[in-house]
Parts: sequence; structure tokens; C-alpha cells
Amino acid sequence: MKRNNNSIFIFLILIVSIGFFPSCDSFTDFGDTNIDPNRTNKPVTAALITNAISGMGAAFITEGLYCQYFAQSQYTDGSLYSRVEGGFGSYSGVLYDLQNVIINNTDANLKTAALVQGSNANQIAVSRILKAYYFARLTDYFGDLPYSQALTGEVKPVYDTQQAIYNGLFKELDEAVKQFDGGVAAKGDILFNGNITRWKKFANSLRLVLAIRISKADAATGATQAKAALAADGGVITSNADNAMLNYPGGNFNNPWYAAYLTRQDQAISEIMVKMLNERTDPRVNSFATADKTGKITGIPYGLPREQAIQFTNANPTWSFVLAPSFRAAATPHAILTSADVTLARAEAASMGWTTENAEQLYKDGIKLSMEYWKVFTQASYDTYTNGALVAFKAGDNAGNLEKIRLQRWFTFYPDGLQGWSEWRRTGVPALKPTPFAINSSKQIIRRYIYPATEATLNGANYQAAVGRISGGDTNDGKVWWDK
Amino acid sequence: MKKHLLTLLLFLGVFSLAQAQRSISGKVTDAKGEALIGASVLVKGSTGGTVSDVDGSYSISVPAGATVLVFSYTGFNTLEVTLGTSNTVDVTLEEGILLEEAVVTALGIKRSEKSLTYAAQQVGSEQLTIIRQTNINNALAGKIAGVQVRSQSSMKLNSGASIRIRGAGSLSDKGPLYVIDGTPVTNSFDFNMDDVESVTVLKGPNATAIYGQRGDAGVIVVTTKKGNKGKGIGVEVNQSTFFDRVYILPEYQNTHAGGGESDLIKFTWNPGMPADWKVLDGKFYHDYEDDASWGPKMTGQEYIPWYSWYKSDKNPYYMQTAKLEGQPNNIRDFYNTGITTLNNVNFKTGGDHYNLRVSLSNQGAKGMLPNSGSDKYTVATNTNVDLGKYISIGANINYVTNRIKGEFSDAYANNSTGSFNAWFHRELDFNIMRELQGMTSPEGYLASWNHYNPAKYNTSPRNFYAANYWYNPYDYFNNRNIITNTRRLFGDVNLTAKLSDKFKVTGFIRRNEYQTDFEDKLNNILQLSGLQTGYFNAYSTQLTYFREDNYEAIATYADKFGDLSIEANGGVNMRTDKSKSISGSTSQGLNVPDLFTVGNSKVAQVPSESRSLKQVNSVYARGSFGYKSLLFVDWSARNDWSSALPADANSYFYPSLGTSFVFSELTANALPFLSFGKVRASVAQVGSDLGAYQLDLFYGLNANQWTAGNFLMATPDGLIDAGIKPSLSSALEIGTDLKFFNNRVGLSATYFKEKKINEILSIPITAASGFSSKLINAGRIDRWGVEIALDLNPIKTRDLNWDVTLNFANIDNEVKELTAGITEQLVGVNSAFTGFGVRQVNVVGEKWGQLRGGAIKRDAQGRAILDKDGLYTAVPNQYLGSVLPDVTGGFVSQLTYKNFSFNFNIDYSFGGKYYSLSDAWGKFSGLFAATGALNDKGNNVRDDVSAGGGVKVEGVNAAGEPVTMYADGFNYFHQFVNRGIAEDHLFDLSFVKLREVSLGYSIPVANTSFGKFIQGATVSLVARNPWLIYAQNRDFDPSELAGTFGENGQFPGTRSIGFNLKLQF
Repeated sequence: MKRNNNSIFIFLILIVSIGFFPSCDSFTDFGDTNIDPNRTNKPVTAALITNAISGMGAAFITEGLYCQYFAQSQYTDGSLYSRVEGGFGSYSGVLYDLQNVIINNTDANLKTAALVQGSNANQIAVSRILKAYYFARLTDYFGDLPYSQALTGEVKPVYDTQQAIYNGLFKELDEAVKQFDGGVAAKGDILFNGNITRWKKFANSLRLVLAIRISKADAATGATQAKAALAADGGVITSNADNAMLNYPGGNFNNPWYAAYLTRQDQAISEIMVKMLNERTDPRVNSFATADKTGKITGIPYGLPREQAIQFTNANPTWSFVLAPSFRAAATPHAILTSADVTLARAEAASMGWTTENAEQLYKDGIKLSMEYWKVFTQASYDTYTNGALVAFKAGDNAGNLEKIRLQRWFTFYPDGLQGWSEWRRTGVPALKPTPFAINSSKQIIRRYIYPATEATLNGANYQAAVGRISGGDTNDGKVWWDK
Repeated sequence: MKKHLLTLLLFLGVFSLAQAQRSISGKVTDAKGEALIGASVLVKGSTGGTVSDVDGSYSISVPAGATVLVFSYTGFNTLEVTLGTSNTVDVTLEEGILLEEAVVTALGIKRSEKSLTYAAQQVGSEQLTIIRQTNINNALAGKIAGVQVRSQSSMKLNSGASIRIRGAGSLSDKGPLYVIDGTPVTNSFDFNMDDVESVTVLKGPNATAIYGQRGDAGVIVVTTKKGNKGKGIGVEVNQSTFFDRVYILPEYQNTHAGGGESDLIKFTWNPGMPADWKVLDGKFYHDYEDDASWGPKMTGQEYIPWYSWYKSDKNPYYMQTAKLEGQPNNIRDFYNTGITTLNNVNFKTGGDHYNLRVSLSNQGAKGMLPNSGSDKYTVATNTNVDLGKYISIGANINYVTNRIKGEFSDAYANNSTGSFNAWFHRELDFNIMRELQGMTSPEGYLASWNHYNPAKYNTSPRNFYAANYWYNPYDYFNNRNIITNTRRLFGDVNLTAKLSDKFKVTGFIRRNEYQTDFEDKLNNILQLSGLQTGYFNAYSTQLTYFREDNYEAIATYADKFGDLSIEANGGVNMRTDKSKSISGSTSQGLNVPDLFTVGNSKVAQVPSESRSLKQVNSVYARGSFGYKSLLFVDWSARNDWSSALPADANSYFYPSLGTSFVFSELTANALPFLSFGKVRASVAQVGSDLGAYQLDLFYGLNANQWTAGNFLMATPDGLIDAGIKPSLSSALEIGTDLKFFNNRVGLSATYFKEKKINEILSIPITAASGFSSKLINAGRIDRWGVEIALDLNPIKTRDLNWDVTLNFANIDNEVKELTAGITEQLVGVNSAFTGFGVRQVNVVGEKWGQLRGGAIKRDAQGRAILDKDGLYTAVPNQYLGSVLPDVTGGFVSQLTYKNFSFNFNIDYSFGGKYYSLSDAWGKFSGLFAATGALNDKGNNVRDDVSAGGGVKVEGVNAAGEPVTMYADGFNYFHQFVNRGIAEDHLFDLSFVKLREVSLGYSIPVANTSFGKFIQGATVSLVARNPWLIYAQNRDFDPSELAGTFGENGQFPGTRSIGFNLKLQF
């Protein structure tokens, strides 16, 4: 046997066999292996803007229950005020997409590459307006929110007060309008197709609506901002041609009400809404709801418990869906903000003495614009409507007239439940009563959304600080700052 | 140092050669022909001896006059062989009766148990196949200390069990790595248990270090059977048939019918309705359209059942009324009896220079759900051939095809349990449902128990006849065809160069590749017949391809120098993971009904595709030194380079070191009852990396453009911490293995403590940051625990033998640190119902896997605070328990009496909680027993409180005074969902379960005329899951939870009874 020598061979061969393997470099250097072939690490800012705008359309059904635009035909827990919690998804979704556009047009290393999608200033201005729009939507649900430290990657952003957020939004809208330059308009603009004037009108109109929303919490700022909005470059939306409308292509991107009724059919116009429209012989009722074969519109009584809802629908099987079918087709444009909304906002600003505009004229103009928008305008029906006792201004009754303006605003925002609910929370108009069958402890209409449950875990200290500022705590009964 | 050692070794070798007078050589193998490495070969009556080498060969110089060689190997019976004239002596050692002490360890190396420095529990084929499980994880349940098996209902044909080794050792809930004959396989399904020789579970880093990054949650090493030359022609046939029936179901109420209206409703005919319906005018029906069971009390009164309205040739009940009665067994009646058949035939042979085994299996199942089944074929081969003296070549090739048909969703709102436990009517008779499947209205709408109430007919026939939310479940399943075909190839080819008696080098090319072809077809009739069901005529398809290649070279060295034995391996491995998939699905219906192509989508869809590549290269070495049979030292070292890590920090190194001391070698005389005793200790580290493409923000493109040219792109939501590092687990383990009374009592105990740092983890962060998660190196998680395995052989006579194994583990852990400023990690939520469900979080300073959700507000004394209606107030985000059990274990008993054998296995688990969404909805919808129970006054809880009904609640009122009240039943059971209280739906995870029982009879064929042909024949009667001995809430089987947190609508527990026939030729 020759095993004596083997011990030496063993180690030699071990070393040789390891040497057989590829050289150290290719063994430890993987080149481009870790570059994802399915995705790109260079964002296209125009595509981010398109994505952000595509998210503006929403049906706001639950909120529409709280302001009693709608009623539920079957499972009525939502309209009986079962607990409701909000989401922060728009922060990491559309809001950061917009922030990302701003970063890519600001960062010295990135901004040149972004120019192919429009001038840096124009892309930033569009993004700031959209950001303000989304932040306003978000804060109106919750009140205080991360704002100044949000969208920075900071994992523990502080919650700013709603007042600070509103002031921030006014500043953003003001600066954005001034920021547009003469360069190429932002690409990917599916809202205004690169029309900068319309962007300015939208920004100023949004600023006006937000200014009025703080009328009870900080009237002085509200008045200042309302006047500034009206005076700002570009003015506000005054004609239906300038409405901020999201033009759905249909197919993969559909009108949200089309999408809602695609697989569900348990939302109805509320009986109270129908009643209030009919009391005023409002022709818009035919656009706001689906009539049965005989042309009749039947609302479902708001806030019925399940058993009574079943009894009602058994007795009234032809109850009415929300919106006439022509207003909820797949490619029906979806209103974000219309001239009627803005004109009535101007009427309210004038009526509150914030501006010197003619409140009554604006009020009537707003109604007319709305009827035109809903394709029900005839001079006769307009005259009948605006001359009706419940609609027409009463000389000397400032408070009553203001309430009429506010009621019209509530009508005009239909079916945008978020705006309708917010206006009701601010003004108490119309005088909605909570359903007597409420299942929440307070038996009151939901006033705000509870913060996402994850916030207590993920951003505990800041969350607790914000909750401490809400009387009644983080509940559906707390009030946001402007809701006095 | 090394040089001196070598010199010493050489000297010893020369010395032994000088003594030689006659040289005997041969091979030492076990009964299966496997080489026994390191078997001791002694010349009887002298001190001269050697050990067998890496392929079991030995060569010994025998002094003149020596007549007997003694072969011994731990765990095997010692064999004495009288020397004849031949200089070649091949021996086969038989394994010891009680304990298999030769353990297959990392890299497939078979080692004597005494030399192991860590706990590695091995289960042999007998224990694994008490019954023939279709999945290895289920076969392991209760058999290994420290292994928690979460099985799944056998209704889910595609789903095995998940397995957790030593509790949760990482913040993410990682599963173990499966290694089959050295080839890593990601799926525990695709090998046949009939081919498994043994399974070794390597638990901690100490055992798994050599497997590197993928072994950090433990490794399950599977050794398959090999060919050998035995008696007979080497053919074995195995046939089993199981019958599966539903076992564990929730308890339902049987007092109230479906709907949301508590009284029967009078039907009034009107002229817009079919004239036939006049006969029902004035008769009563219950609310059909609400899909809960808050309907009228069932007293056998006359009513119009749901099916009465459909005019159809299939409907013998048209326009007939029926008696309104409870159907206590309706859910059980829905499910089919499942039939599972397992067939295996295998061939084996072997000779001096080759061995071969070919095994063919078929596993077929007719599912318990309608339109479900599976069919699996497995071919497993292994071959090894010696090409002359120095080279041998081998191949292990496995090919599996698996076709699975059916929908096995046990998520919320699925069409079986998701309906029965959440939205259903309790008066429904499944015999009628089964009878009327396929029945349609005259217009062609499938009949549904959940159609609208008759007044809706006036708006359109479809609005009345079609399904509101739910179809007849048979119709749903019959019209939904989901098929997954999988083809998998795995195995290796290897070449061994035996360069000397002590040294060999083996190269492997290993591959594990699979393709899946998935198709889902949903028939148009479902779209046509559904109002709010959400289903469209649809088609989706997906093709995926995955391939993992490992190129491996490993050198093995073993030698013995006097009392010192040495064994070492060095290896290099290159691994690539490649995958590709293409998928497409239709949207919002099909243009041509039931033409199942993606191009036929009503709304044009673009197929999506994905591909990925990852590479990891490694160099490793391990070795073991032994001094006599007394002291062993084990070490390993590994370095990995991963393409998924930052290019400048893609390398990580981790070592292990261990020792074992066999003190019984010294105490043999002093403690004769102690047959074997050792203590062991080891320390180890394991590194780990992450998946491909996670280090940069990569933007995906929405395949659908808004309008031409306006495409959409979203910023990824995962933020990435700069400077991601590999993670590292460090572990310490000590233990002892003791055997008493001639090996009839064995005890193995292990304590371990493991610390995992820098785990790479995507943790949720507040979306207000702009991102929803962040990839970080998470601080640290520690786990520790005790594992005890007790083997007993209380009875051992010629005819009667009883072996018992008891396992016990108590494992705990603590999340020590996450990342700067973050003390809680959200792992997940139970479902979309965040408002009233639970979230699973990891909290610094607490045990892993906490459930949090809304609790009932209580005063300082723990009394519930009740409002004036007797309802609770919620406190959100409260700690409701951990999902981890405290104690797990099992009990295996194997009894043989002459030709009979009786084996069973019990699995137990204590501690931990789970959440049940079924319980939440089952109560909300008035389905579960509690919603129709009697209160302490003997009245139904649904009766009016004023009439003595209502749910009795105790607590304090707003003023803090103790009160006892009766809450309205409907409101009481709705408050948990509506007010966000999860607490009511949490249950104890503890269970004791009899998992497997088999009674076998070995037919004594040898004495019959068949004896010439048949070597053995065994018949057995077997049962799977025969008895859930203990569970707090018997509505669900806690050993089969569908999710880590609990369940959202899981399938019922099942029980299988079957028989097995095994023939050996």
C-alpha cells in the first residue's frame, strides 16, 4: 500500500481543485446581474404626472352617505355609522409621485434629464397644484396630518395642525400659479392637456374653495385667501368649458360611478335628497338619479336598519340608482371642480362680506351653470326654480340667503360626497339629522375618519400628540379644525 | 503546526505498515449497500486496527495467527468474521435494534451520532410512514423536538404544511431548506415519501452552517433509498387508498332561517308577474336577498323555498311550498368524500460495482370540493457505477408531473367555507342544492338560493332570478375550471475521483427546475347569473419557469492515526437562480362568450412578464477530529458572495465550532446501566442575503395606457436603506445524549440560544413618509429554548416489541432591536377588514408575532364597561396574544407483536393565540351556534329582551356600578364588527391531536406456496387525523390554520381512513 504518501497528495489536490474554479474576479463580481430587467430605475416624470392625475376621480360613496346624498339598499351599516377608519395610501401613492416629479425637476443632477417632459418650472407648478389638491382631500378626512415632514422618507414625521396645513396649501397654490414659465408645458397632463391657463384657473378656484372652508376657524385668513385667489393671475373657473374634468377613456380606466355599479347595485339616491330637489322643482333630479320605466325617481329612506330597508325595497323594487345612466357611462367625464361650484363659492364669499361681488347674481349664475352642466337647463325651468320661495333670495334676510347659498353648494357638489360632507360639517346646511337607528355609541353623524390603525404602531409618538389635540380623541366623533 | 501534524501522521502510518504480515481488504456497508465510513475494524485479541475509508473500504494488516476480525460501528451490531484463505472480506453490518445512530448530516455525510456536536434528530422511514402521508411536512408532525408543523386541511389539494423549526428565529417567518440527496429543492411536495429512506432535521446554525444562507431557518435533509442486491428480484409494490371526510366544522345555529327580516314575508301576486305564480299568492317566504341568517324562527311552518320559483324541467318543486326547518348537517352534506390513491412500484438491484433504483409513483385524488382533483406522477431514479478503481459516476434524476384541478381558496368570501361561515342561510338543504345544480330560469339564469325577493321581478326577470351575492355553490365550482400543471425535474449527476483510500473529490451538477402552466376559466353563465357577485366571464393564464443550478465540487478526506481520526471536506459551489413568467388575464368579460383567450378580453389587456436572475458563489470547508471514541471536535467555515448584495459588500463569512465528549467511554465500568453518554457544545454563525433587485428604486410601467402615449408609472413604495449588509445569526447550543440499560432508554436534551442580527427586512413605515415600507438591516432577535427527545423500548421480547418516542420543546424569543427610532414592526393584517380584525406585529422587548386589535374596554378590575344598551366600548390596538406556542411536541408509539404492528402518533402544542375571521362573520351573520343559543332564562338570545331574550352581559355601567343586563341579540353580535372589537374572535392555539394511526399485518408468505415469488406482504389499516383530542374552540382545527395569525375562512378539518398493501418480490 502506498497510503503513506497520500496525506501530502491530499492537500495538494485540495488546493489544485479549488484553483480549478474560475478566477477570483468573476467569482465575486456579478456585473449587471442585479439590475432589474423588468423595470427601470429612471422615472419618467410625465408618466408620474399621468398616474397622479388618474387618481383624482373617486366616487366618495361612504362620505356621500354621511351627507345623506345616498342611501344603502341592503347592508346599511355604513349609513348607520359603523366605525370608519381612513387610509394614508395617497401619501405613498399619488403624493409621492408628485413629490418625485418635483425632486426630478429640482435636483441639479436630474433636472436636465427631466426637461424632455416639459420645462422644470411647469412640471413643478403642476405637481404642486395637484399635491395641494390631494393634501386638502386628505386633511378634510382627518384634521391634523404629517405635512411639513411628510414625503421626505422621514419614518417619524410630525403631525402638523390642520391650520398649518391649510396655510401651507394656500402658499403652494399661490406660488405654483406664479411659477409657470413660458417653457414647454408638462407632458402627461391628462387633465388640461397642457393648457397652463386652465391650470391657473383650477389652482385659484381650489384656493377659493379651501379659503371658504376655513370660514369658521379662521375667517380673516379665509377672506384674505379668497380675495387673493380671485385676483390671482388667470382668475377662477367661470365657464363649464373650463371645468376641471377627468376625461376617462373607458376600458381600463372608467368613470368611478360606472365602476361602482359594474359589480354592485346597492347604492341609491336618498329619499331626503329627492325630496329636497322635488320641493324646489329642481330639474337636476333627473340627472342625479336613475328613473324607472315610468320616469319616476324613488329615493331610499336614509339610514334604515336592515330589516326596514328590506321592507322598503320589497315595496319599492324600482328604487333609483345614483345618477342617470348617461352620467355614469364608462367614459363619462368626472367632475373634479366645476364653474358652478366656484361661482357659488364666490357667492358665499360675497355674502359673508369677504368680497364686494354681487352675491345674488353669482348665486343665480351658479345655479344656471350647474343646470347647464347637468344638461337640464331651460329658461323656463331655471326661472321657476330660482323664483321659488325656497330658492330665491329674500331681501334683507342675509342669514337666510347665506344658508340658501350654502344649500345650493351642497346640491352642486353632488355626487361628490367628500365635498358635500365637508360643507355640511362646516355649515350645518342642510340641517341633517342623524339616523335614529345609529349603531355608534354617540348616535351622531360621523365627523371625521379615524387615523389608520397602523399609525399608532408606526409613528406612535407623533400620532399620540395629534390625537391629544382632538377633543374626544381619535374617534369618528372628533372634529377637524375647520369644523366648528 | 500543520506540518508537524502531517509528519506525525506519516510516522504513525509507516509504523503500522512495518507490522504487517498479511493484508486483508474489503468493504463495510450497511444493509442498503451504503458505505459505512469510519467503521472500526479490529483484529480480535490484539490492538491492531483500522477504520473504513470514505467509500467504506478498508485494508488492514493482520499479524500471523490472527483468525478473527471484529467490525463495529456505532448504532450497528458488531460482527465477528473468521478469516479464511481469502484476503478480501466484505461485510454488511446490521443496524442496531433501537436507535439509528448513524445520522445523515449536512452535505449528506453519514456520521456516527457520538461525533455530532449539535442536535440533529433523524426520522427513519418506519416512523415517517406510519401512514403514507402525501407530504413530508405532515409526516414530520410530532416526531421531532422543536419542530412546529402547521398542516392544512386536506381539502386543499395543492397545499402542504408549513414548518417552523425552533420557533421564530427571524423577524420574517422563514421556512426551512429542503435538501434531497444534496440538491436543494424549494417545494416540499415533489418527492414521494415511498422513496425516502430517512429525514434528518438540522435545527440551528450549528448544524446548518455549511448550507449557508438558505439554511438559516433549518435544513431538512432527505436521503432517498438506494439500490442494492437483496433477496428476491428486487421489486416492491405499494398501494394505498384513503377516504377523506369532513371532521371539524363550526357549530351552527339551527333555529333561524336566512335573510335580514325576522318575519316571513307575505307574497302578493301582481299582474307584472308570471301567471303561474298566482298559486303562491298569499303564501309566505323568508327574505332571500340578504345573505345572512337573521331570518324567521324555524318551526316547521309552511314557506316558499328559494327553488320553488324556477320553472325548469329539472325542478320537481316548482311552485311548491315546503316546511321551514333547520338543517343541522347541511354544510357537512356539501362536501364530497375525497378519495386519495397512492401507488408505487420500485425496482432495485446492485452489485459489487453498481447499484440502481427506479421508482414510479402515482398519486391521485378526487377532491372533497366539487370539480377538484389531482394527479401526480413521479419517477425517481438513482444509479451509481464504479468505472474501474478510481472513478465512479452517479446520477439521481427525479421527474414529477402534477396536475391539480380546482379552486382551493380558503380566504374571506370564498364560495364554500367563505360562504357557509360568513354569508349563508341556515335552512338550506344541500341534498336539494345538489339535486338542482345546473337548473336555470326560463331565461337561462342559474338558480340561486340568494336571489332577490319576488317584487324585484317587476324590474326584470334577471333582477329576480339571478344570484344577488352567491350562486348555488355547486354551480359556482362546476363553472370555474382552474388547472395548474407542474413539471419538475431535479437531481444531479456526479463524478467521484477516488484519488486514494483516504481522499476523494466529487463534482456535482445539480439542477432543480420546474414549469407551471396555470389556467383559470370562468364560464359566461356565472356572469349572466350574477347581480352583485362580481364575476365576469374570464380567462387567465400564466406560464412560469424556474431553474436553480448548482455547480459543486467537494473534496473529502478521512484518515485515522492511532487514536486520532480526521475527517474533512472542502468545497466550492456556484448557484444561479433563474426565473421567467408570462401571464395574461381578461378584464370585464369576454367579447365572444366562453372563448377562453386573452385576446378575447372585452377590455384589451396586455400580457405581463417578469424575469429574474440571482447568483451566489461559495467556498466552504468543514472537518472533524476525533480522539478515540471519546472526544470530537467539529468545525466549519463558509464564505458566500451574492449578486443581490451591494457590489462593494457582497461577501460574508461565517464559521462554526463544536465539540462532543463521550464520557460513557470512561464510565463503562462504574456506571454499567449507562450504555452511552455524551455532552456536546457548539457555536456557529450563519449569514444570509436577500432577493434579487431590491437595492434600487425600480419603476414598473402600468401595462395599460390612459390614452395613446399617456402611460402611467408609479413610484415604488419601498424605500431602501443605503448600505444594506448581509445578516448574521449566531448560535450557541449545548446538549447531552444519554442511553441507558443496553440502549433501551435514550434521552437527548438540547439548550440553544440564538441571536440574529442585521436581518434584511422590508418593514412597514408610515405612508406619510412617502413610502409604505423600508428595506433595512433590522437590529436583533434572540431565541432560546430547550428540546428534549426521549426514546423508550419498554418491551422487547422475541414476539413483542414496543418503541416509544416522546418529544418536547419549550421555545421562546424576544425582539431585541429593530432600527433607529422604530420599535414596532407591522408584519401583516388578517384581511382587508382592518377596522375590526387583527394586525400581527413584532415589538421590541416582546415575543415575536403579537396579535393586536380592538379589545373590550374594561375598568381597573377587568370588568367590561357596558353602555346603556348592554354593548361594549372598544379600545383599539390592544395586545391580544402571540401567535407562537410555548410548548410543542409529540408522541410516537410503535408496537409489534409477531406479524402485527400497531403504530400511532400524537402531536401537541400549548400556548399561543389565533384570530378567526369566520367567527367574526359567523356571529355577525347569525350563522354560528351562539347566535341562536338559549340564555340563562331558557329563551333564545334572539328573542326580544322585553320577552326574556337577549344575550346576558355582565360588567359595569358608565358610573362604574356592577350591572347584569340583556343585550339585544342582533345588536350584540353586530357590535364586534361595527365597533371594531377583535377580542371576541381570539382563541387559544393549544391542541392535542392524534395524527396518525396504523394497524398492520405482515402476511407470513414465506411459509406459503407464494414464498418463492413473494418476499414480503403487509396490509395495514390507517387513519389520518382521526381525533382532535383537545382544542379550546372546536369550530376550527388549530393545527391546520391557514394563516400565521389565524384564519379568514378556512376549510374544515378532515379525517381520512384508508388501507395500504405492500408487496415485495
